[in-house]
Amino acid sequence: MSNADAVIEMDNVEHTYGGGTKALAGVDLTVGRGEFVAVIGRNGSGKTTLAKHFNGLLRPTNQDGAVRVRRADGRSVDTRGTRLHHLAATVGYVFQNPDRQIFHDTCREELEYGPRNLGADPTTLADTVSQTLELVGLEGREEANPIHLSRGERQRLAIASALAMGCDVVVVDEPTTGQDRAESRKILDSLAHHHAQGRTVVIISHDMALVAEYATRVVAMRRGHVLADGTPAEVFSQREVLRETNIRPPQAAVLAAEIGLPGVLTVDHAVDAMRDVLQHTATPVSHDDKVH
Amino acid sequence: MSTAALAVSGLTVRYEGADRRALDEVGFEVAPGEVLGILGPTGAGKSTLLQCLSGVIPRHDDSPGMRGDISVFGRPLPDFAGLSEITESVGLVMQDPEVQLVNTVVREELVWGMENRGIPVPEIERRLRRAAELFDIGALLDRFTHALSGGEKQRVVVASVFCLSPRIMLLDEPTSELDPAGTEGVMEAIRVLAQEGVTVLVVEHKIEELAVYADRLLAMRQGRVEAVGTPREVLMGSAAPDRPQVLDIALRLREEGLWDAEPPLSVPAAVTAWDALTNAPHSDRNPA
Repeated sequence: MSNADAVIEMDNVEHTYGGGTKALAGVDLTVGRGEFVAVIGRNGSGKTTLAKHFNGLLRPTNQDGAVRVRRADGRSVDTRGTRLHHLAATVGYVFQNPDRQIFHDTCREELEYGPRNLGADPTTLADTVSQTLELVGLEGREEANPIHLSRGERQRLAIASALAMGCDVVVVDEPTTGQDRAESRKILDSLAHHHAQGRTVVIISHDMALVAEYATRVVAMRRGHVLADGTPAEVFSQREVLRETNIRPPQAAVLAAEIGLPGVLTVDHAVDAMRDVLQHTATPVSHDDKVH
Repeated sequence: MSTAALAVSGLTVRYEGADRRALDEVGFEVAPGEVLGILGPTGAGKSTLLQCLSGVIPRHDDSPGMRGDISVFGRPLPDFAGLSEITESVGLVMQDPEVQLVNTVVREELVWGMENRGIPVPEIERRLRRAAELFDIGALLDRFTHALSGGEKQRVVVASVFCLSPRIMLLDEPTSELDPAGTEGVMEAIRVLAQEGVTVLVVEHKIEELAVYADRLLAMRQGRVEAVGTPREVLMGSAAPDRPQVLDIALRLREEGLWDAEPPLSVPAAVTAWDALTNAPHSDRNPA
């Protein structure tokens, strides 16, 4: 039953909170090594509850529900019987608000903390720190105090602290909330670097333009269930799913679908597809006052 | 022209120890009932601006160096008798909803401010019903505020400011934690309030919503106003930090001489333009 490339396997996971709210209502999901997964869905659909099961922050509340995580040594462990710190080196979790997890006075100490706890060789720590900072676009900021970083930079620092521990899987809850476009891209690019090394990224996001551009797989949640699971193109083309989850694909995809050019996800795709049509349309257009 | 709801001129703020001005000679006016969208990258001064307009700076901040003039319906802000009088006209929703949630239950949160104002009970009940409907929080009224999701907290905080019925609402990224449906709900509520004469200034990164819902946009960068105008004027100019994807697509095709139509700000506008360009209507639109 165990998939060789699976890093996280969930079987029939339910989660009911103390107050009686059933946030997950039986989820089966396998995340493979090297995937870039985006979990989408309305507020309250169970996205964060799902993601917190990946590293044992939450555990299934039903007897027969199980989450297994494959550690670096190749062993697959059940999160229910495993202490949190035994999963921390495999699955890094970055909270929606980075300030909940940043607590040192310098970026260097912040990044050293995790590896040190895991017994890393102290002589390699400096290299780990500088390399990780570079990966998230904060090169040379070792001695900066995190409180002087912008919110987006602190988000990247929080991601870096998961990367510094050598986590195979990084789970990030709404990485771009409140960020402008340029900063959102830097954050996603940090994760894309991690992904390009053959590692696994899971994000929770409402930003469908970024999901379309970066994710290889989309998991759409609704009322504690997985409603759809596939490539961004597959999920964004299921009208029923979009209506049920209230998800709006990126404008480029919506426009392309409306004008009969399906399969388009990004601005670049749309421009290419629309150019093809316009170039074959009868009247050539002359245009002088171009926009610069 | 009638009196501006807000008139700002020469507004300059420098935080102590900062290497540059947070706001640098900012000036603009907003008409009553107008929705002004404020955009700009992180660090542009958007939140500082809203804090000045609400009187939080300099009255309650550690008084950063501030100069310049702000008038609310023609009355200079320093003439108001403290923040409590300013808040009768100007309501501020801050970026982090947790900062301004002070009660344990949602209903209390909404009623608290109105009771402090001595608003009669029937009016409190009327506004409560209206807020619940406008911001879709009827089902949340008896929930604990600490147990709400980020998006729910945001809607509650906007609703609680609405309950005080300010003539001007300042909203600092009110939809950052909301899903698309929730975002649209808040934007629709803003539109309704504006139609009733409330002036709304909203800081947002969600450019595709602002392009449709704002009457005008103000683009800021590094403490300065870079552009102010209709959404089309601002978004087509170089000051826009980001553009709606449909506008981006049209402008790129226009660069190539392939889009000979008005650049669209929304998907329906783009579809209409496309139909005209390709002479192949996909809708039941009448050709002009």
